[in-house]
Amino acid sequence: MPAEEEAKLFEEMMTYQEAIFRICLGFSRNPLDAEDLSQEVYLKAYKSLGRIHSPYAVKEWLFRIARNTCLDHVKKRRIVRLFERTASPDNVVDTTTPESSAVTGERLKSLKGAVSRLPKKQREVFVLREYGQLSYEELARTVGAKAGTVMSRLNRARMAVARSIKET
Amino acid sequence: MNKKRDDGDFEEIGRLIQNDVDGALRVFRSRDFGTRLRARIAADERAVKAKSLLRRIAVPAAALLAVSAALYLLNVPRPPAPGPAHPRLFAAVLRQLPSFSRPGAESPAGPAGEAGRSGAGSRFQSALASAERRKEEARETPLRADRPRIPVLSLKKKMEILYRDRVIERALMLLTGKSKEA
Repeated sequence: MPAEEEAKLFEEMMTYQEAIFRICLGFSRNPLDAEDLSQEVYLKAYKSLGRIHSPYAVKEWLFRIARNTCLDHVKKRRIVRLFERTASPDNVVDTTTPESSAVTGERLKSLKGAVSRLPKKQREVFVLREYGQLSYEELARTVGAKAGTVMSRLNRARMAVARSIKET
Repeated sequence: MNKKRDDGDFEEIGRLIQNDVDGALRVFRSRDFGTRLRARIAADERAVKAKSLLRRIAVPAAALLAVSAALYLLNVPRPPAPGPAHPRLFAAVLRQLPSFSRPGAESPAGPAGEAGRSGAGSRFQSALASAERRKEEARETPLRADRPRIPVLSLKKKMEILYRDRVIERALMLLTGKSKEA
């Protein structure tokens, strides 16, 4: 691929940086980790720019990289936690939001805990939809499942999260 | 009723997520992600280049080191190679060798004048002389035409003869043994 075309593709990819950051935030539950993860996603994408066959598929391709990178990150974090045993999913809360009141903070905490407890397939669909704001079609293509399957997974995930928030 | 409650719950989830995302995005936007990413890509590319340069230098250096180590290990101390034979010494040795021009004239025992010659040299000379003598004798006694020619036997024939001899020998042995017993 010519350098000019690569630069153009990269610029196009950069327009999705906020969406990528939101997805990473949904998986990592920490803005700093989310930023690091976003950088990792873009680095991976930059290194394999030559593999894009169609420039129209950039967005989905980027989301797929983000999803895989985040799932890897979650897996690594779980292994680290197994050894550390100090950090619990509940103590990773965004404290950088000055507006968040104590109540909102508590609810956010329980929401993040509930998301982290979701089964992998439901969690990825939930995060991609709620944080990444992907359409059902995009979601289906990113996850590699049918739109109907994705919708039912999303519904189950939402119900589980709502139940968990109510319980706390 | 249930659906309404669920919708309310979902809306609340949406609001909570939106709050979370908004706060994080504010920080994210203020940090200029694009510039930081480009700096990281450049740093990564520099690291890759440095690594490849290091590899380019390291591989021949390691090969050179390995070759020199192998040469050092193979360098077994050897005695110095002998120098070229001195022509005078070579001539002296040649003079000490038996001469081929007068073999018949000398006896196998060797004359008194040959004191300087080596034992091997005199033995060679005597062998040469006897060979000459045999040649001359052969020349003096011509082959007789009436001498019976010895037929050349094949290996099979030889084996047959041998086998027959053995059989006769065994029979004789048996006979003599029986006679002794009797």
